[in-house]
Amino acid sequence: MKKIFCITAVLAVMFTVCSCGAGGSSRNGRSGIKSNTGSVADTIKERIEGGKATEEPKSGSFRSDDLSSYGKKIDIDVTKMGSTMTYSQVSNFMTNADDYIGKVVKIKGNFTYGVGDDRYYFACIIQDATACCSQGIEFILKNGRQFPEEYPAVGDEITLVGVFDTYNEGKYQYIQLIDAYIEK
Amino acid sequence: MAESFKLLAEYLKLPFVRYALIVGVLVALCSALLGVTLVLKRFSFIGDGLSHVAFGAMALASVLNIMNEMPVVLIFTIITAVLLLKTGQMAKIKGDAALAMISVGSLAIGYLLLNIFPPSGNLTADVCKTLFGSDSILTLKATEVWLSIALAIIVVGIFVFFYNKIFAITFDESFSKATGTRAGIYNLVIAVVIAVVIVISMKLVGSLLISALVIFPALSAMRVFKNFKAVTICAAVLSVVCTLTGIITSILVNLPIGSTIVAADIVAFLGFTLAGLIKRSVSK
Repeated sequence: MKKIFCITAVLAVMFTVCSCGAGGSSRNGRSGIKSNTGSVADTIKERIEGGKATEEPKSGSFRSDDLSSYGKKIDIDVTKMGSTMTYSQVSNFMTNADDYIGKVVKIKGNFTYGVGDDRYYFACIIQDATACCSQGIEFILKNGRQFPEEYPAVGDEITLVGVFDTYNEGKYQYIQLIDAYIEK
Repeated sequence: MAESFKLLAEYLKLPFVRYALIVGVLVALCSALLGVTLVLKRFSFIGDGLSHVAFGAMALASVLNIMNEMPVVLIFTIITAVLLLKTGQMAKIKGDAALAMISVGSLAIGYLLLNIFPPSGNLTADVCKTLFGSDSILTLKATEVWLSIALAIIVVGIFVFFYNKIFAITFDESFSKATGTRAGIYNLVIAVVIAVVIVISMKLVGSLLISALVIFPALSAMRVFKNFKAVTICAAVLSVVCTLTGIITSILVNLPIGSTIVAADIVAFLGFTLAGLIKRSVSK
């Protein structure tokens, strides 16, 4: 009888602690850098779904940059990697971001964007080999462009070369490619 | 072929690939050493059971938002290993029944907790990677690598220093006790070491495939060799070779790492079985 009572009490405490420790949709208390699923990709998706975009970009005026004229040596070329390595490399960008700051990175994925309070967020989404999950990296183009006319359409496959950097917003650290060239 | 070598050379420049190879080799070595003892003591499935407990502990740590999950997972797994291996004949629920109960219960409770309190937006991917280790080994941080190295050194050190005692307890525990060996303590040490190896192996092959890493090298070696030392050395070498082959093949051909390593172990087992048959027919 005592043992049953103890087991019940332990289970009750466990469920109580669990319900206190995990809160619904909140991602509070995490640094924002996570492995594999990547809270950056989650946040980009949240921004897209919660954003105030009113129109799809028209890709008629889009022009590709000449990636070969970027002017800096590419340190990490993710486009030459297989799908397993690509996903692992992007996961490492998320989890070990500080190791890559300043490095020139080339990636390929699908274009997407989101709307924040006062700016647009542009990202390149990379799927894993089984397409069960995806990760995104934000980018800021070197040469100013007009959105949406001079940007690709959402879902278009793009190749980016840019300098890896991080920034903080609120409690979270995000990764991005700055001074980027884009090719479709 | 030359292209593959060139690609591999490029990949080896990446630190996370080197980390994966280092930890993979160490994990394979530790698993093989323990595997010989477990197979001979007829505890082959304990790897599976403990890995499910580790999954449950990992789920609990994720739900509680604990940043560093490894201590929580280690504690739960070690306690379970000790309870399973040490209680032995005194337990009311014995051996395989206890293992099955704990194993299935932990897996179910772990998955239930993750569904009720999902820690991330993509639960399916997180669970899939934890269970099958598709590319978890390629996302190691430097601190995790150093921790794995330290644990591996401890495991190998224990096995080397206590080799004679482990040998005696593996083959005849009752005789060992009768001759004054403190079998209880050595069983406890083996239980703790098994738990540690299981936890660090999860990143390599995932929870569901850990048993293969423990069982296959030992069984393969036993097809050819009959001497404990020879089986142990062969199992260790074989496990390391299969793991390296599995990791390199999977990153070159875009396959999930855990499954590829197990496939390499299966091929090795079939090869050694054939070699054993040839050896026996030649000796006749």
